[in-house]
Amino acid sequence: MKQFSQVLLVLLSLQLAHSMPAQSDTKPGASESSSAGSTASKLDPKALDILKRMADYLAAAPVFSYRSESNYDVVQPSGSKIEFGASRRTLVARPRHLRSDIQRRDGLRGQIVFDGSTIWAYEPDENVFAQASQPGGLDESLLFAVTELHIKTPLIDMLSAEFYSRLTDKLIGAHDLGEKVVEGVVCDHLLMRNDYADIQLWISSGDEPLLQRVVITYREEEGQPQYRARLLEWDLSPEYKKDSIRFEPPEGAERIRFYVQDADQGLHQEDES
Amino acid sequence: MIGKSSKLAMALLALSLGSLLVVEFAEARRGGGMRGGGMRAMRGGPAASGSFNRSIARPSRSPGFDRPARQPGYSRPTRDLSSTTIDRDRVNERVDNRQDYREQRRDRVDDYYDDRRDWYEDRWRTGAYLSIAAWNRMSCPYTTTIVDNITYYDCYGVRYERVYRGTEITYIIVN
Repeated sequence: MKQFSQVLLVLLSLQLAHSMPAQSDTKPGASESSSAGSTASKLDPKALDILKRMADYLAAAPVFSYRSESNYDVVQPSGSKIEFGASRRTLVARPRHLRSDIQRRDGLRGQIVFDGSTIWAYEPDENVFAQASQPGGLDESLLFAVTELHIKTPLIDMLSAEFYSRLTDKLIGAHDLGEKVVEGVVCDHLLMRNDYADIQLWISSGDEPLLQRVVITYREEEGQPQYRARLLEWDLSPEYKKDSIRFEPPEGAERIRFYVQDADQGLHQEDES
Repeated sequence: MIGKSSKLAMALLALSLGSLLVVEFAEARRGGGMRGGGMRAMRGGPAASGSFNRSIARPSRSPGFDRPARQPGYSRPTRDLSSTTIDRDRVNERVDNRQDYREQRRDRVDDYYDDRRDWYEDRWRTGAYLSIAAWNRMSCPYTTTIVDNITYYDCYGVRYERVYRGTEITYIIVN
């Protein structure tokens, strides 16, 4: 009996040892929160100034383009985090137009176009497309695309004319972490904390205050996953004609529907009608 | 010299370690649809949104999922027993019974919502749709049917529709 309880004890300790990494996944976050928590309620005016300068600069641009290399963690049921990522080339023409070409790491390509009246989603590898009416300008359309059509469009807040107010919504901390160099670009490094996430921003110093890098830590989510992006090749006067942001379904392309999650009715069609 | 009990303990340790690894591997295989690799993984989640705000990173769930809120100002009507001469024990018993009934009813309501939550999450996570990679792995000898300009794919008695879901094409089961 004594031997049996010894064996049980060993097994129990092994089980505990196994469960430790899962716990430690959350603990660092907790300590991070508490260490940053000492300054959590501080809103450093200098950090807010840098942020506002960048947000206003981008919001005032009628047309701009950039490339992003982004990756994000997905917390698996086992507690492991797996990284996914994509490259995007995005062209924005206010007030209603957007085009984003996406290349996911698994090789799949995609295209999202807001042509002023219609949202198009096209997948060239399958030669299929879906479409839905734009409910309004760029801001409304982006929100609709993300929340209703479930189209993944990272950093949509950045594309909004309300960038600053969205960034500062429910802000509980704003800190200037000093100058840093991101791949040769001198940047102001900021830490913003809202009620949900910690947001680190690297904004180029100088005459063109543009976002160069962003890391968002979802502090309130299990496993504290991160979204990370490097923003490159900013162009605030790209060659652009309105006709370049339109979509013509290629010959033979099959039209499919957007899948809209609904517990009671399942599938809805988003049409122009 | 290793004793019999030590051998037994070591064997059990090895068995336990092995089973833990199997569980890890099995858990890692659940969900999603990564293209090309041997292991499948979930690929959604709040960080995929790249948003600063909770409302976008975690869009609210569909209507009907949340427990319905009671109307503001609502209170259960109560009977005034002060002017009635009745047996106090019987009243207490009745109150107890009513409380039991309420608790049972609350439990049933809780169970209902738990079941609904499970159903919803199961539907969201598993079974109801296939990634392109999973569809291709099935090597299904499908036939197509077009109804109202929508193409349906019939495969082994199951009808699918190709839909655009979160920047990827997915086959959802429609029957």
